[in-house]
Amino acid sequence: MDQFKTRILNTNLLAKYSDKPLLIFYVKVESLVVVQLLKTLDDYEFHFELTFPMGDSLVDSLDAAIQKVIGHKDFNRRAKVLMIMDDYYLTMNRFSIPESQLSQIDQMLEMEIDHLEDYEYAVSFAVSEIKSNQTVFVYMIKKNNLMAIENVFRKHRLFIRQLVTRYHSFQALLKSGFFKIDPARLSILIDISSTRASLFILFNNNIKVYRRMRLKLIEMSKNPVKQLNTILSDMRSFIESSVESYLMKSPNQSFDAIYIYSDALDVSKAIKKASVGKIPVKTVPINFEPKSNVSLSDGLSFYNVYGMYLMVKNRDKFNLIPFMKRFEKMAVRGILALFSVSLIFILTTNAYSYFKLNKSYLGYSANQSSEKKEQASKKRDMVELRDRIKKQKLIIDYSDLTSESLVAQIPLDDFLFNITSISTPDISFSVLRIRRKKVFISGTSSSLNGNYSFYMFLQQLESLPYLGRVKYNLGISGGLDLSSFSIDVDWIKKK
Amino acid sequence: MIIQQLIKNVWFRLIGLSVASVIVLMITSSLIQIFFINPIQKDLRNAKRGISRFQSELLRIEKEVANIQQQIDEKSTTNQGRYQHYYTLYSNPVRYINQFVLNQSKPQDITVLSSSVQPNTSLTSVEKELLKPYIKDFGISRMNNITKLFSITQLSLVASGSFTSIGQYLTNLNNLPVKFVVRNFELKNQNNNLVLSLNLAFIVYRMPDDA
Repeated sequence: MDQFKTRILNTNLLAKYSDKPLLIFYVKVESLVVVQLLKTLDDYEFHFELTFPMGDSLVDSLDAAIQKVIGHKDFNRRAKVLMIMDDYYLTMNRFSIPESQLSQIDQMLEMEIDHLEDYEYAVSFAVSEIKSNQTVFVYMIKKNNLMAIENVFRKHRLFIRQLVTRYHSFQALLKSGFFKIDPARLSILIDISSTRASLFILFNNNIKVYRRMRLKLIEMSKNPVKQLNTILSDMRSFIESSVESYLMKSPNQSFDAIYIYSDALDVSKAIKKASVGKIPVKTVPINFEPKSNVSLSDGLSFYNVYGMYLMVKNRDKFNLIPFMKRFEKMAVRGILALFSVSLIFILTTNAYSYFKLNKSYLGYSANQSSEKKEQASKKRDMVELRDRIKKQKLIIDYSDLTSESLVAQIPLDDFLFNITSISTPDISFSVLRIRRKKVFISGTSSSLNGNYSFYMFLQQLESLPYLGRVKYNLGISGGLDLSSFSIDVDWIKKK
Repeated sequence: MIIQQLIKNVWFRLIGLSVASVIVLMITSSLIQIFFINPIQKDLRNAKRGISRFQSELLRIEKEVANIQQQIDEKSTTNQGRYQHYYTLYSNPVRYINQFVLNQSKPQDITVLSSSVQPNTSLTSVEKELLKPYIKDFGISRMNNITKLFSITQLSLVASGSFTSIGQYLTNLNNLPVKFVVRNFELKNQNNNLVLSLNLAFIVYRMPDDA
């Protein structure tokens, strides 16, 4: 025992670290056995065992049994409710399918089994006698029956967790070394239930062959010796064919013994001296020590209950109640419900956003059209104003251009003033002409003093800043002491 | 093979269904966003942007107008009345010449012997030459455009009067805010009577009808 377990046991904390109690219902053809036990760290703790007769209706018998179990002083409501069902209540199909098809086993079963949808089923894999093929056992229970069984438990506020077959509990016993059979020797183990006999050829802790045969134990005599003799005589050819079949594959081997196990028949009392061919028939030795303080009303059935306990211990997941299917169905519904709600939420929020935005947009559009009209007319006015002002500015600019470019024009008044001021009284003008920057002056002047006054005038004329070089003609005029003159001068640009 | 094994697993199937549901929801949401919400959001954004763009454009024009107006005001203040004269000249050159050149500027004792006003005549090389150095400063790129923009209103005048009056007349003409080109000036003494011949060219901007 490891330190952890030692510490738990030494400190009386076992209950804390133990699992929930197991309440196991074993439904047989003629009776119903109920056992409550607690799986402890290494072993189990026995609480109680009750046996009830099976009536005409399984549901009614279960109901009555549960009522009595609930009334038991040691009943623990927290117990995990488990159930073993005899083959009598179940339908079993056996298939040998290629290993490549194992991945699509559900589809294959749907094709192979009629009205599969009416059943809940679970699959087990058995020993394969053909290479690359897998033997598959399909255990089925009618959905209505399962629901009725579950409802009985539900009625008493109990929840059935696992439903296995008798075959599986027996398998658990076989695998756990419950049967004291020498693994080095080739042996046959026959399990006899109320309705079936199963044959196992065992060697080296392996099942080499598994065969089964239908029995009608209920219709047989109540004397166990007679029952066993009848069974053995019925099974003789079945056993022999199984042996031959095995020996054909693995020749030169001899069988040690045929071991009989049954929870429907007390074999130990029945077997005196029997053999099939040369193989002796024996009661299977059991590697199990019952609790010393426990008295069982149905000791044979307890072994199968113990097998169920071993299944729980080994976490064997075989279950005819399709919890995962149901869970998946519920989860899918939940996910779809969440999806629908989310989708509706998304659609609603987006629709709300869309209509809100659309309303806002329509508001803007309405405003925009009136505002646009207003702005357009305002803009039109502004553009007109701008154009008009630009034209005004052009007028101003072009008037400036005219003023600036013509500012150097001939200042006629100034020129007239100048020539009158520089001319002496003896000078008289007949023509003053200005054309294309050419100035022409003609007139008469006094010829006295060598035309002094004319030359003085000429000199002063030349000094005018806007006139160029002066050209003149001076001649005798018709009058006394008079000279006639003509002057040509260029108008130069004002500086 | 691995996928087949995984598909057989209840938890894998449930997780797969959950993930698929979430993905479908996300895709649905995204599609709604892409095909319904985003377009309407874009329309709304564009509607908002359209109004603001319109407003900013209007604001820009208002600023431009204000700027031009300010320039006009500044120039008008510094050149009091000048632009009014030019505007009158440009809008109706004949009337302007009659009003300001032949009447208001002319002293009383000058007798106009003959006068003629010829609007819409072409610019001569003299006027073009005078304008040429300045046109680029006023946004006229080529000399060819000058004739499109401007015309000449020509005034031919023969008048008689005293020298002083003629001088006064010329001074008055020079003092006019509107500048002109003297194409021909002649002052003749005929039988002790001064005769003035003037040929003036007024550069007139061809103003658009709606200005």
